Amino acid sequence: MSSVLERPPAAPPADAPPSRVQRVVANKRMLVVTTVLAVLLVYGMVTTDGFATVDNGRAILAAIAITGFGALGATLVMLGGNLFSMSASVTAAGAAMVFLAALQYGVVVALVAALLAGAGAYALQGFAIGAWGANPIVVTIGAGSLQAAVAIMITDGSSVRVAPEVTSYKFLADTVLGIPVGVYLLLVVAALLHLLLTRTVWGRNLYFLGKSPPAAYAAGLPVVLTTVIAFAIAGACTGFAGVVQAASTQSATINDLGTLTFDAVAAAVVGGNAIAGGRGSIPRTLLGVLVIATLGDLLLLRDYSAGVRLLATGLLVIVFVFATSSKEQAR
Amino acid sequence: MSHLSPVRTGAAGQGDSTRVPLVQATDLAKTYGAVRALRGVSVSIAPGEVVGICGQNGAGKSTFVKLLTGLERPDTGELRVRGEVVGFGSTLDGQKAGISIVDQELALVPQLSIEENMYLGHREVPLVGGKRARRARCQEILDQLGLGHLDPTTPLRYLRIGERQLVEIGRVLARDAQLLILDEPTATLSNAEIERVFAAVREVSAQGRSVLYVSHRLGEVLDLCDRVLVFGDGLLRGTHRVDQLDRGRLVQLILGEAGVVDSGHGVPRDGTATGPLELILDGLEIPGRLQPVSLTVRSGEIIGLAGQVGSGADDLVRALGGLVPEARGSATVGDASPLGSPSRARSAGVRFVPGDRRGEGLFLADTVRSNITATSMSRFSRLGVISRRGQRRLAEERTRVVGVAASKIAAAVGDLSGGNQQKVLLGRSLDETTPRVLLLDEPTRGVDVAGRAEIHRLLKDAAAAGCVVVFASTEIDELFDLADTIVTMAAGGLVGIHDKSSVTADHVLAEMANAGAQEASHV
Repeated sequence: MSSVLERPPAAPPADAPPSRVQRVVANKRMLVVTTVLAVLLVYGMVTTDGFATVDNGRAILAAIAITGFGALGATLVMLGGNLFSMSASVTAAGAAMVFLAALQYGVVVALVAALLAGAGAYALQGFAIGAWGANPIVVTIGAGSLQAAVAIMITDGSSVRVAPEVTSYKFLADTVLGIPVGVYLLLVVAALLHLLLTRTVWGRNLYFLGKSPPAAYAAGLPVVLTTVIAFAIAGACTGFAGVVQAASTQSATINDLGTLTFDAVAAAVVGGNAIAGGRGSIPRTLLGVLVIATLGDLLLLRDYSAGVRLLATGLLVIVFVFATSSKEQAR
Repeated sequence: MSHLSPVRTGAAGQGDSTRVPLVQATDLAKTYGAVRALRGVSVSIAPGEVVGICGQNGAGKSTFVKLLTGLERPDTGELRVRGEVVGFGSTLDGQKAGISIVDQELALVPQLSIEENMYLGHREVPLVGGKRARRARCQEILDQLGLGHLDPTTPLRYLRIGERQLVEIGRVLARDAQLLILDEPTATLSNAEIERVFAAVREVSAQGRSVLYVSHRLGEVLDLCDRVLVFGDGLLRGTHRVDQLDRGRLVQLILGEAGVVDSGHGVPRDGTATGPLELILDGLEIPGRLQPVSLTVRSGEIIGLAGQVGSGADDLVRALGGLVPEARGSATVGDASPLGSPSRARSAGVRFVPGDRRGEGLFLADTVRSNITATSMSRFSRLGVISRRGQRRLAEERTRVVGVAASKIAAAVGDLSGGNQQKVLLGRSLDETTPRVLLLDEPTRGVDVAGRAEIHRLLKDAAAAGCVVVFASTEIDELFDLADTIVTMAAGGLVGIHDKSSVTADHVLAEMANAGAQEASHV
């Protein structure tokens, strides 16, 4: 904002190249995540009975679909420099309810309706954040409450169920080659998103926006539109998480998926995406999802309680944030 | 600290100058990269003395001040305070030795109260206690600065900008510093407020404390100071007693041998009246910052907005770039208006090159290729999908046009020199379809001499192709090198519009220094 109208000539001191360092750091992060994953796998295989089995491998993969979709959404929000959406759990649960309620019109209609519900809810938040510069945390917390309120008013607090005779959606809960359909869907969506982020004008603009909002604004890039699209896609991904959940549980209340908000952000952070935005990628997020799923599975096999599992994930996130934040600020 | 402050309050400043000087700098030198910002400067300041510092941008004033306050270390040379050699490592060391600065940039916290701000970073504030004494001292200082009506507990954000500047000065007074450095303290102040700053400075001097007064406003320097140090090219060109100077002589001293700026060189071009009207400003204003400006610019004309901090020159450029949504009045390019948002400005054919290259211009971690094509991705994409080959080709073409080595195309733009960074920004703005209006804030700040010449050539080429170029600059040389028409601005308003060939550097400098701000502008 304020311009220093007078400076000593060539003030930038010896031009310390931040970016070369950054690139190493970025690669190093990828390396760190991969190493952590490898360590977990080796440790599990060596010390834990039943870890290195095909069944357990499937169990790990089965656990990643829901968190994975949530993490894809969190990644898009984060990349654009908008921190986290605090309403992911509610939006996913809401989409699950929409999905189940709309199944009577066919599975395609239900899927589209659920994804649109997620996309719509997020897009409105993206608009508030992009156009008015509203704080993303505050907006998404508020939006979460609103969505929960609407859901409770419509359903009167009871859970949404699907009639037992409707079976069109069951394939979503099936497994192919022992791996849940949801995981295949996750990989397809992730691949598409990766292409969108790396090969399209929108994707490049999102990275620019995350790297330097003032520069993106001053350059006349379509800041609002880019943010709204990012949120809409993130909302659809989050909705997808709800759909996968609903397909397996066949009922939904607004309080299901309560830990998705945290899990999604945790995976994105552990994968090495920059919280401040501008740096990160879908492959990193998938790695993060795998790390967290493997860690959870390992602890489960070793009979630790849910509390310990949550603790371990939390610690992992904190360690990653500390390990990377100083470098980010050095930018 | 007691050994550092021999009590000398009440001693008349002048009489002491023969004794131990308060500050004695000997042969201070400092280089930044290849730039020799300061090349051996020796200065002595007596207790109670008020010393002005003048010079053009890049003359070495700011560097000198930074060395005195401990913000930077000198490469060579020696600094003595009251005869003792000091080796400053930080501004806290400077504070300990009794040297404090009021920067031209406000360094206060809007959320904190006046009092809290006044003691911000004060090294003598204990964790507990002394509160009542501080409150009383704060009130005393506020009274002294004519802000006695303000409650010290008022959060700073409720104060007007001029009042904040006074609080910042008060902050230095609160430190009981022996040497106060004021760097462009009046840029944001009204005349009445300036008078209060003067009064405070005189009182400080009467107490035997010294003041360094850095300013482009020559009138203030002549009014207030005992002596003036004139800097140029990193050297102390001379020290002059104010009573032996007048404004004209001081301007000459500042401009040095280049006193008569050669306005003839540069690309010879047709007169300015040939092209069609391209940019029309009609009462363009920013409430509270920029008084209404009316101006017509023809295609191919280069306008230099000459003005110091707070003159409104950068505000005007930013408003035209769509970056000041609260701008009022009208501006038209062809028949579109660029006001309101940067994307509106873009679609009106306006390209803006920010003064803050690193903060607002470039995506530092990204490559040259990515930066130079950031705003024209539609040129190499279909249905929103990017062709990487197309991007590479466009990047190669543009780096060639602006003279950035092809080998740098994959380098992170943050690694480049200031000149190359500015060329990348220019390359980004110079679409194949030449922009209709190119706006620049300080086009060559932090750019070395060679880069500067190349950037000037690029801008002149753009103008020759029919583009309107409007730039804001504080540098008299740049204004005369580049502009066809020089528009002087001061205190948020237009002062004069001059054809370059019919105005002298003295005149422009005088107008920038606010001499004629009160007169009706000749639009």
